[in-house]
Order: sequence, then structure tokens, then C-alpha cells
Amino acid sequence: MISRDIGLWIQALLILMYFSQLYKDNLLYRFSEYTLIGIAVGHGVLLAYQNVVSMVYIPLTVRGEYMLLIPIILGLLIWTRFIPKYSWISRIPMSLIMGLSTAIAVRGAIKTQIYEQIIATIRLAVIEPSTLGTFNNIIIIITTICTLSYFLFLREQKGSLGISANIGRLTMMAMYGNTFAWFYMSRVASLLAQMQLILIQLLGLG
Amino acid sequence: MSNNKENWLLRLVHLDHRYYYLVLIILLVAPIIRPIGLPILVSDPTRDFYNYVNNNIQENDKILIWGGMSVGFWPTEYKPGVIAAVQHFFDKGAKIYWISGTTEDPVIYDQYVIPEIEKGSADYGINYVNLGYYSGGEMAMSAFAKDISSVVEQDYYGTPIDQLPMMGEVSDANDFEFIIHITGSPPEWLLRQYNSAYGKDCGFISISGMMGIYLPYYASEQMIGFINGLRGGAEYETLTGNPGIGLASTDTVSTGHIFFSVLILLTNVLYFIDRRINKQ
Repeated sequence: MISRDIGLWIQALLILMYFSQLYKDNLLYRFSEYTLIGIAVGHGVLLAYQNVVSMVYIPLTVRGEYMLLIPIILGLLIWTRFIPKYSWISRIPMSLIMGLSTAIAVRGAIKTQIYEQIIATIRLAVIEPSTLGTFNNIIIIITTICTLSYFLFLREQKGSLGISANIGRLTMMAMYGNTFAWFYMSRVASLLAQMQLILIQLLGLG
Repeated sequence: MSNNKENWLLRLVHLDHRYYYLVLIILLVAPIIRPIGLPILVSDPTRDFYNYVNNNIQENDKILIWGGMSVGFWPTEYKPGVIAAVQHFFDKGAKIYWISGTTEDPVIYDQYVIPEIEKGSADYGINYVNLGYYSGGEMAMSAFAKDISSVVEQDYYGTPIDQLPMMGEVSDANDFEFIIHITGSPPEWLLRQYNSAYGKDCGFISISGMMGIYLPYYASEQMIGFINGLRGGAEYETLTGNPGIGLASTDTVSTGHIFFSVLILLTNVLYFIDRRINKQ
């Protein structure tokens, strides 16, 4: 049964307007795109405003937490980038944010992204109960060593080092191809959602 | 490449891309109208996530969910996995603390997740809570892990947290049994701030594109498991025995993938044929 939900019809119309770009660029496509961006920005600004009210304005004015004046001033200083003469001031709060982010990330980065990865590779058992598992582990060990050798610049990549680096390069290309394939899968799933909305929810097919 | 050497295969390379889109749309639409029922295999990351929840999560255990969903990916990429997993948490009687790192996430949780869940006797503020959106990314995660009250003053609806009974049971990351990040980004933020810093068990619900990026962290046992996009959602639905939109969509995705696999193979073959012709 065809839906009588006006919201669903507007949604479907905007989807079709967006898909019209597959044929060629046009005004309908741009209208739907700008509508989406406008709504997302409007919603984001509203939530950011609510954050400022609940986390800054109320604690400051109601509870008298005057320490909050420091982040408020730093936040306001970011806006000086719109005044060319004083734009350099905006670098102070930005560098503080960058410094804090880096400090917080570095704390766990070495363990998470380096140490644990090395340990996991070292502990890899070459022989596994299944033949496929053993084969897989051998592949992991060889490709890890070869990929690392690709980034070895102590001497010219010729001879055995050249072969190893080349295998490493192919390994990385295979990894990028794999990532691309998964991203493609993600986009197909998104397209599918729009198809389901139009065919099942709106037109009652399927 | 000279024109006289072009055969029908090579002409495919120069075919207007709009024909490919047309074929793709037909292949996606056909199984929606007439399902094929292609089989689905459960992958290890999804199975481990499910087994962990099934075997380790007890009644009243606290699960922290950092939501990072976006509207665009919600209908197919997040929805199957999120609905199946959150339903599983409710069925186990766990307490769910949901905090959002993206602006759209608290709305999705409020309007699309909670209404779809069979909550039984669970009550808001006692068994589940929506803490709303907090900016700051990894910094907010870190601050929340250290001292919840330093970040959260009120929930999504404006209720002060001291009026929510379940918020009195947690003060920092150590109070949670399981931490989950729902995100379309790499997993490092959560792993650095909760697994590495506090040794907490972490799981993920992600979009399909993250598969290759998540696997090294899964293989190194830094995460319990992860539900990967639509496919992962369908797998989780299979494991819980509650078929939903994930399983209903797998046919369509499979036909689309078969089409593109054929195209990728064909393009590679044509590339080598083209190169050989050019050499001659």
C-alpha cells in the first residue's frame, strides 16, 4: 500500500533529486544537497549552543564557577582569526587545543598502536590446527617483515632488500584495495537504504 | 589504442558510466521485490562480540556506549547492528549509559533506537540513559573516563544527573564492565582512553569501510570484537535469532557486490589486454 506519510514523500523526493546527479549536475540536485547541509549545520549549532549554556553559562552565572572564565576567554580568542590585524592571537588557544589533544593521545598511542601490535605479531603461532590458519599466519609474518623493509632506507633497495621491499609495496597495495572494497560495500548499503525507503516504505512493494 | 583493434570487450571500458549505475540499481531493486535467500556466514569479530555479551554480561552490569552515528549511515550501516546489540543488552538486563560524540547521535538514539527496542520492565534513568552530545572527541572521552561528573551535568532532556538513579552508581571508567564505540572512524580513541589506560573490555559497531582498519586491533586482542556495518548487523541478528533489517537486506547487497566483483575482474583483464595491444 502506498504511504500517506507526507514526511516520507518529502524524504523520497529529496532522495530522487539527489540521485538526479547521476544523470548530470542540475538545480534539483543542488537544492537537495544544500538542504541537507543546512539542516546538519543548523542542528549542530543548536547542540553546541545548548552545550555552552549547560556547561558554561549556568555553572558560571548560577554556581559562580569563575574558573570557567579562562576557557571562555580562550574560546573567544579563536574568533580573532576573522580580524586580520589580530588573527595571530587565535593561534594561542589553537595551540593549547593541539597540545592537549596530542598529550592525551600519546598516553595510550604507544601501547595501543605500537607495542600491542608488535607483541601480537611476535606471539603469532606459525603452526595452527588448521592448514588454512597456518598458511594465513605464514603470510602475515612474511608480509609484516616485507612491509617493514619497504621503510628501511639505510641502504639502497636492491637485491634481497629490493625483493622484500617490493613484496611490502604489493602488500600495502592489496591492503588499500581491500579498504576501498569495504568502503564501496558501505556505500552500496547506503544506496540500498534509499531504495528500501522508496520501494518498501513509500510504495509498499517487497 | 587504435580503433580497429577495439573489440566488444574493450568497448565496455568506454561505456557511459550511467549504464553501470542503471544496472546496479536494477540489481539492488530486484531482490527487494523478490528476495533470493542467499546464505550468510557469521564472521569471527561478530561471533566474539556476541559470545562476550552472552557469557560475560550479567544483570545490572553497566555498559557504556559512546555513540558516534551519523544520519547518512544510520538506515543500513548502523541500524541492524545497533538494534540487534542494544536489544541483546536489554535482554541480558544490563544498564546502558549512552553518551554521544556526534551531534546527530543523541537524536538517533532517542528517536530511532529506543522506540525499536523491547525494553520489558526497564525504565529510563534506572536501566538506560541518554546523556546527550559532548564535543571534544578524544579529550571528552578521556575526561569522562577520569571523572564522569566533570563532563556530564545533565542528560539529553535537561534532567540533572543527580536526579537519575543509575548515574549515582558510576563515577569513572572503572565502574563499567563493557565499553562500546559506535563509529565510522578508526578505533584508536576508545582503545587509547579505555583499553590502554583502564584495561577495560572494548567492542565496536562500525561501518563496513572500517573492516581493514579494525582487524589488526582485533587480531592483537585489544578489542573483544566488532559488528561491521550491514553485514555484521545481519550476522548478529542470525546469532540472536531475531531477523531484522540486516538479514532482509543481505540479498540486495550480495547481488550488488557480485556485480562489482565481475566489473573489477573484467576491468583488470581489459587493462592487461589493452596494455598488450599497446605494446604490439
